[in-house]
Amino acid sequence: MATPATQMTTAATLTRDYTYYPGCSLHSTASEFDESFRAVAAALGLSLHELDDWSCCGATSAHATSNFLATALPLRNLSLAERAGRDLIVPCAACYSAFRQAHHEVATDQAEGRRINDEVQAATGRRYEGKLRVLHPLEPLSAPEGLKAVAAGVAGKKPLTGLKVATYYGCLLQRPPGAVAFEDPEQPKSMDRIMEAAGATVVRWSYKTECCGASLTLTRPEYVVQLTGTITGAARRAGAQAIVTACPMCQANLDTRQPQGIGAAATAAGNGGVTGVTGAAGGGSAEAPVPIFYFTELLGLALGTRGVRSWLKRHITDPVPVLAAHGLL
Amino acid sequence: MTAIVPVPFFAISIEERSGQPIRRCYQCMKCSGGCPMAFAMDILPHQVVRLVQLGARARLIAARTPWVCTGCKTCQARCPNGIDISKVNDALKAAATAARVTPGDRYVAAFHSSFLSSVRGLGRSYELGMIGLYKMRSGTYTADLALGLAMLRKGKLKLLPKRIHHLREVDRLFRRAAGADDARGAGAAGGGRGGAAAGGTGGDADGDMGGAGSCGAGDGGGAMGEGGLD
Ligand code: SF4
Ligand code: SF4
Ligand code: SF4
Ligand code: SF4
Repeated sequence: MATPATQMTTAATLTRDYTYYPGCSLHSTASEFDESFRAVAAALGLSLHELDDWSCCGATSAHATSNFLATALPLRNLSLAERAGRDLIVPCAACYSAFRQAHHEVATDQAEGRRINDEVQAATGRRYEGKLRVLHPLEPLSAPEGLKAVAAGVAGKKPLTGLKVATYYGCLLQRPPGAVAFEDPEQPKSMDRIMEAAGATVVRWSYKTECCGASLTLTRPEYVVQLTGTITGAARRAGAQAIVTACPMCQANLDTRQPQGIGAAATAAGNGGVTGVTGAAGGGSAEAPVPIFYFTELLGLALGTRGVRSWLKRHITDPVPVLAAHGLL
Repeated sequence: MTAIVPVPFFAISIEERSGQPIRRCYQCMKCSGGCPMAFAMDILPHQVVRLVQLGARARLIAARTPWVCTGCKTCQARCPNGIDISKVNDALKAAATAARVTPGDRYVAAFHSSFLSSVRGLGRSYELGMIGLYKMRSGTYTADLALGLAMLRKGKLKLLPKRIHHLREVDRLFRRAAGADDARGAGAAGGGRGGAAAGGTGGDADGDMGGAGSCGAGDGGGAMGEGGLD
C-alpha cells in the first residue's frame, strides 16, 4: 500500500480550493478523521486552507442553553471564512448543521438572524453577509465529477472489492431539511455512491439516519449503549462487515459503545435500558463487533494514501482483521 | 400525575422563545413515533407540545424530557406542521433554569455548563478540562474509567488545551448572550428574570445550564463516558 498521494487530474468542480473548518473534534478525539480527510483531499487534487483562528461552533450545548450563542458562535466563524472568499468545507456533521442553520438565518434575512448578526458585528467588528457556500465533504465527492475522480483514483490502487459496508449518516447531517439537507433526509445516498465508486458493496438497512445519542454518552452512557446497540446490531444483521460514518460523534459513539451494546444484549436479551459498564469486547458473546470507519479512512485506503495504519490504530474496535481478510492491508 | 394548573401566557412565551408554531399541533403523534429517546422520557414529545398548549408550566419545567432530548430533529423532519420539538425542549430548559428548579437531569445540565465554560475560556472545547469540570459538578468520578484510559492511550484526548488568538471576541459574545436570550424569552422564565436567567450562559458560566446533546461532545464526551480523568 502506502503509495505517495498522487495529484490527479480531475474535473473542474473538484480541483479547487476550500476553506477548511475542522472543529474541535477533528483536532482531538477524531484526529484520524482530520488526517484522512486531508490525505483524501490531496489525492483528489483539492486544496484545504484551515480557517485562521476558528472557534468552537458551540455544538449542542449552545443550542441547549442559549439561542443567541447557537447562532452567534457559528456566525463568528462564517464571517471569518467569508473574508477568505473560498467555499467553506466542514466535515463534522454537528458543526456543519450548526453552520448551515446560522447561514440560513442570515441568508434568508430572518429577523433573529439580523439581530444576532448585529451583535456579532458589535463584538467582533465583522458581519456575516450570507454569501458563503457551506459544504460537507460528501457533497462535492458524491457529485458526478467527484465520483469519477474517486473511481479513477482507486483504479490500480486498493479498490474495496468485496467489502460489505453499511453507511451511517447520523441524524444531523440532513436536518433540519430546509436549512441543512443536501439530499433526501430520510434516504441519503451520497456516502453510498462514494463507497460504491471506491469498489465497496453497500448493504441496505433502516438505520442510516437514526440518532446515536450524541453527547449523552458522557452523562447517560446507558442510553447511548442502547441506541448504538440497536444501530450496530441492525448493520451486522444486514450483513455489513463494517460501518462507515461521516461524523466524529457517530464514529466515537458506535466505536466505543458497541462492545457494551453486544454485552448488554447478550445478558439482558431485551431492552432493560440501564446497564452499567458491561463486559469487554465481544466477551464470548455470539456476535463480533464490526469496525466503524470514517468514510475518508476507507477512501484513503482505497486511494493508496499514506498514514492509513496510524489512523486505524486509534480505533477501539480493531479494524485490521476485516481489512486484512479482504487483502486491503 | 397531578392536576394541571394552567399558567396564563406560558404557551405564548414558549411559542415565542422556541419560534415554533405550537398551536398548530393536532396530536398526530408522528413525533413520538420516531423519537429515538422516547424510551428515556417521562413525557413523550407530542405530550410536551400538548402540555405547552395547556400552559402546564409546573409539570413541564420539572420534566426529564427536555434534558434527554438529543436535538436530533427527527420530529422536526416529520411533523406535518413543521414543529421542531427540540427547540421547544430548549425553551423549556431555559425556563427551568430561570425558575431555578432542579434540572430534570442534573448530569446533562452539568455537562452543558462544563462544555460552555471550556469554549468561553479557550474559544474551543477542551475535552480533558471539560470532563474534569463536569465530573466535579456532577459528582461522578469512576464510571467509564477503563474506556477513558483506553482513549488517552490511543491519543484521542489531548493533554494540553489550545486557546484561540482573539478570545476576546468569543468572550464578548458570551457577555452579550445573557441579555439577548433574556430579552427574547422573558415570559418563559415565569417569575425569574435576571440573575442566571434565560440562556443561563451569562455570568461566569457557572451553575446549571440546559441541555441535551447532539454533537456537543464530539469533542469531549466524544466517547468518553464519564471517565478518563481520575
Ligand atoms: S460541533 Fe463539536 S466539534 Fe464541531 S466545533 Fe462544535 S463542538 Fe467543536
Ligand atoms: S448521529 Fe449521533 S453523532 Fe451523529 S449527528 Fe446524530 S447525534 Fe450527532
Ligand atoms: S408530529 Fe407535529 S403535529 Fe404531530 S403530534 Fe407531533 S408536534 Fe403535533
Ligand atoms: S429532537 Fe428530541 S424530541 Fe425530537 S426526535 Fe430528537 S430526541 Fe426526540
